[in-house]
Amino acid sequence: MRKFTDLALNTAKIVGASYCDIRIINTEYENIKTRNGEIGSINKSETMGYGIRVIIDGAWGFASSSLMTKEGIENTTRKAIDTGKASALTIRNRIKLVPEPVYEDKWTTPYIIDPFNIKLKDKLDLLYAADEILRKDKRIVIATGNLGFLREHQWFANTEGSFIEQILLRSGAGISATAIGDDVQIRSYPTSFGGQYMSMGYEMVESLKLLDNAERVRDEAIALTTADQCPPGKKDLILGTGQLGLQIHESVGHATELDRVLGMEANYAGTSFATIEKLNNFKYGASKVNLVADSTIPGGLATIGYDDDGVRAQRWHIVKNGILSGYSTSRELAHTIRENRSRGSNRADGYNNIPIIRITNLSLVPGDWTLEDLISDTEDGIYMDTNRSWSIDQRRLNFQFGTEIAWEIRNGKKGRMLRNANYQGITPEFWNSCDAICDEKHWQLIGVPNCGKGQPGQRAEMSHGCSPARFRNIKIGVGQKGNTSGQV
Amino acid sequence: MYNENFIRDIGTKIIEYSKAQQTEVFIYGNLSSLSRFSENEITQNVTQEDINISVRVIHNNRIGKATTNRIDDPSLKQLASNAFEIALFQKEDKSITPLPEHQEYEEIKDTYDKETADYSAMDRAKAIKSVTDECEKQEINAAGIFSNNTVYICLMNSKGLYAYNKFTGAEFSITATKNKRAGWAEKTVKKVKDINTLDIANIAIKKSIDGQNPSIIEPGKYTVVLEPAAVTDFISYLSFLGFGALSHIEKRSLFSGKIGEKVFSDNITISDDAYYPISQGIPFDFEGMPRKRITLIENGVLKGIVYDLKTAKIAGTESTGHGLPQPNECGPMPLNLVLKPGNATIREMIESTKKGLLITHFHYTNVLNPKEMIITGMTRDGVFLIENGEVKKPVNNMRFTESIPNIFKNVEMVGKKAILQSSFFGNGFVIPGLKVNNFTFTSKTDF
Repeated sequence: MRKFTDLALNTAKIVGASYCDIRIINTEYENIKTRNGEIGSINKSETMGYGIRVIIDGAWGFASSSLMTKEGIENTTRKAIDTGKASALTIRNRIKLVPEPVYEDKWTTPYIIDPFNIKLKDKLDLLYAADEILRKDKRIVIATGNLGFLREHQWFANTEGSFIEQILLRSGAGISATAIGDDVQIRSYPTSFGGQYMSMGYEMVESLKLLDNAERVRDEAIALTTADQCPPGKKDLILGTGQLGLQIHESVGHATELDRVLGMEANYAGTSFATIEKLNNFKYGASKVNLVADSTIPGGLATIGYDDDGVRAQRWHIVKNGILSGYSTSRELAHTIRENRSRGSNRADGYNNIPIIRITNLSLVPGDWTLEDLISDTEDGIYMDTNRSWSIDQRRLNFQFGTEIAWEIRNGKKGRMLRNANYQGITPEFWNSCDAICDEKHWQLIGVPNCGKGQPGQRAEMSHGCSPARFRNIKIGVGQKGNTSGQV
Repeated sequence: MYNENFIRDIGTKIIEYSKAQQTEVFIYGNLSSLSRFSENEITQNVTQEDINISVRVIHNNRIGKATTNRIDDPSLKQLASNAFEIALFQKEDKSITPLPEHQEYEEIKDTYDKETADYSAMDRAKAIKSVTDECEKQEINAAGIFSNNTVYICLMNSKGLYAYNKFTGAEFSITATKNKRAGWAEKTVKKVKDINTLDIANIAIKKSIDGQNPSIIEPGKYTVVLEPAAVTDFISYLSFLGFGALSHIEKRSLFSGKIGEKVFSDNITISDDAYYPISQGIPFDFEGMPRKRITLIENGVLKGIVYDLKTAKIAGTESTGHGLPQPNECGPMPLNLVLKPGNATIREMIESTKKGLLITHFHYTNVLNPKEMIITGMTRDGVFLIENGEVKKPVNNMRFTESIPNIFKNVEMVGKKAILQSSFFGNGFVIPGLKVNNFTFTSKTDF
C-alpha cells in the first residue's frame, strides 16, 4: 500500500499542501437477518477505496474514490486540493493541528474466533433455531434474528511520517419478538435495534446464548401486550444497562463532542449546553457520577489503536466526581480548550467520509450497590430497561426516552410489568439526581453500532459501559392518559 | 462518472457470470460534493465518488446476495459466485417471488441538469461567501451546507428487465445564530440555478433576529401554524408507519383494516407521486417495477396502501412499484409523498389564529408508540407566539408528544404553496404548511 500512500502524499506536497493524509480501507461485511423463518436480508459485501485529506492555504479539502490506480490517486488528490482551495476563500482561522508523535505501527482487534470463518449454514441454523422458539406462540407476529460482522483493514499515512495499519473486527447478534394482543409490543435480546455489538470475534455471539434467552423474550413480548400502561407522574427511576447506555450516549457523549460544542454541527445535529467555559467547574451530575472515555477498553466498538488523525487511543474523564472534566477532541480543535494533544476522537465512516469528532467508548464508573439492595431501598419507583425510543433537543438538554419493558417497584419490591414506559428530563438535573450506581458485577458494555452525525451523514460505532443506576423523582409516563401536561 | 453503457456492460457481465437460475444486478453510483460551514467559514469540503454493485440471485427457491464497489472482471466474477454460494446454503423458501420480466416506464423529464452536475467547489464557496459576509456584517454566526450531486441507479435482471435513471440535486440549508437564538431555512431542488443562497440565508437571519429575548411559555395544548419543514416529520413517519402493505398484513399498523374509513380531516389528501413536477422521484422501484401514482388519503379517507411484489402476492393484488431493495424486512414504502396543497397562505393561517405558535421545524422526532403512531420531538430554530392574528414575540423551545392521527384530524387550514422538503426517508416530500389545533406540548426548555 505504500506506493499508493506515497503517491497521494507526494502529489499533495508538490502542489503546496501543508498537510496531507490518506486512508485506504478494505471492508468486509456480512449481515444476515431472519424474519419469521425466512431470510429477512442477507448480504456479503466487500469494498475498497480511499479518502485523501489535505490542508492547503490553511483550509481543509477532502476527496474520496474507489479507483485504485495511479491515475485515480492523483486525480483524487487534486480534487482534494481543489476543494481545499475553495474552502480557503472563506476561512477566518487557518487550520492548526496539535502535535502527535509519528508512528509506524500495526494494530489488530483481539479476537478468538474469526466470524468470517464460521460457515453460513451454522449462522443460519442458529437464527432459525431461535426463530422456532420465538414463534412457538401464535401471538408472536414477527420474530427476527440478526448477525452482523465487519472487518475493516485500514492503512493510514500522513505527510508527518506516520504509517499505521489497523485491522478492526466487530461482531453483533440479537433476536426480537413482536407480539399482538391488546397492543403491539416488541421485546429484544440482548439489546434492541439488532442486538449487541462488540469489537470481538464469533466468541461474542456464542457468549450471548441466544437460544437460552429466546423463550423469555417471547413470553415477555406476549405479557407486555396485556400489561398495565406505565402510569404518569414523578417517581424514582432505576435504569437497566440496556437503557442507561443510550442515556449516557445521548446526554453526555454527544454533549461533549468538541465540534458540537464549538458550533460546527449547529445546522444539523445541533450544539451543546456543555460549553467550554464550563470545563472543570460545571456540576454535570452528582458527585458519585464518573464518566470515563476510553478507546482502549477491551471489546468496545470504538476500541482502536489509532483514530483517523493518527492519534493513539487514550482514556480520560469526561465527568469526574460530577464535574465536567473533558471533551472528545481532534487534532484540529484540541487547542480551543488549551490542550496540546488530541484525545484521539476523530473518526470517519469508511474511506469516503472526512473524519469528524465522534464519541468513543464512554462509560459510567460502577458504584457499590447490588441491584437487589437498590430495589429493596426504593419505595416508589419504576425499573425500565431496553431502549425503544429516543429523542433529545438540539442542545442536549431536554430528552425523552421510551423503553421496551418496565416494572413497578413498591416498598422495595419489583412488582407488576408495565408497557409503553417512558421518562423525560433535563440533562444536568437528571444526572444530579443520580444517588445510587450498582457495582462492577452488574457492569456491562452496551454497543451502539449506528450513531449518526454529520453532513453528509456518517455512521459510527461506540460502546457504553454501565451498571443499573437510580435517579430520584423523574417525570415518567409522558403522553399517557392522566398526564397533567397534555393527553394524547 | 461512469456512463450508462459502461454501467450496463457491468450488469450484463455479472448476469453472464452468474450460475443462478435468476440474477438481478443493482448498481448505484454517485458523485456528491458538499461544502459545510460554521462560524462563517467553510469547515469541511468533500467530494465523494463511488459505485455500489449488488447482485441478488434466486436458485431453487433460495436467495443469495453480495455487494462490492470493485469493477474489475475478477471481482465481478467473484461477486456473482459469492451470491450464488450464499443461496446454496439457504433452506428452500417457496414464498420467494420470482424476478419480474421486462417493464415499460413512464419518462420523468428534466431529472438531470448538467450545470448542477458540474457545479464546482469554488462555485459553492463563492455562494457561501456571499452569505457569510452578510452574516458577519450583522454579527450573526452562520452554519450550514451547500451540496450538489449526481446519482445514477441501474437495475437489470436475467429475465430481460432493464431500468436506468440518472438525476441531479442540490441543497442549501443554513442555521443563523445570534446571541444563542437560531433561525433556519433550507431549499432542496433538482437544479442548482434555483438556489439563491442569500435569499435563503435572509429567511434564517430574520428568524434569528426576530427570535431575540424569548419569553418562557408553559407546555400544554396549542394551535400551531407549521411551516412545511415542520410538517415533513409527520409525513415521514406516516410513510413508515401507515402506508406500507406489510404492516397492514401483519395488523401492526393503526390503519390495518381501515381502507375506506375516515382517518384524517376532510382537507387532507396524500398521494405518492414520483412524477409530481417538483418531486425528485424515479419511475421504477428497487425491484424494477413501474412506480405508480397512488392516492393514499383522499379528503381524509384512507384510500390505498403501497405494495411490493411479495406483499402484493400475499394480498392477491399487483405491486404498486414501491419495493425496497430485496430481501427486505421493512416491506414496501412510499418515498415520494405529496400532501395536496390547500388554499391558505401562512399569513392567513396566522391572521386567523387567536392564540397559537408559529413553528419553523422540529428536531430529533422519533416514535414513542408505533401502534398508536405517537411521536415526540423538539421545536427548533424559530418558535413564535401568535396572538390575535399577529406574531407577537419569540418563545422558548418545547417538546411535543402527539399522535399522528390526532395531528391530521385537527388540521384547520392547508397551505396553498407546497415545496420539496428534504426528509428522513425517501428523496424529499412535497409539503405545504398546516394550521393544526389542539397540538400537545409536554415539556419545555429555557432556550
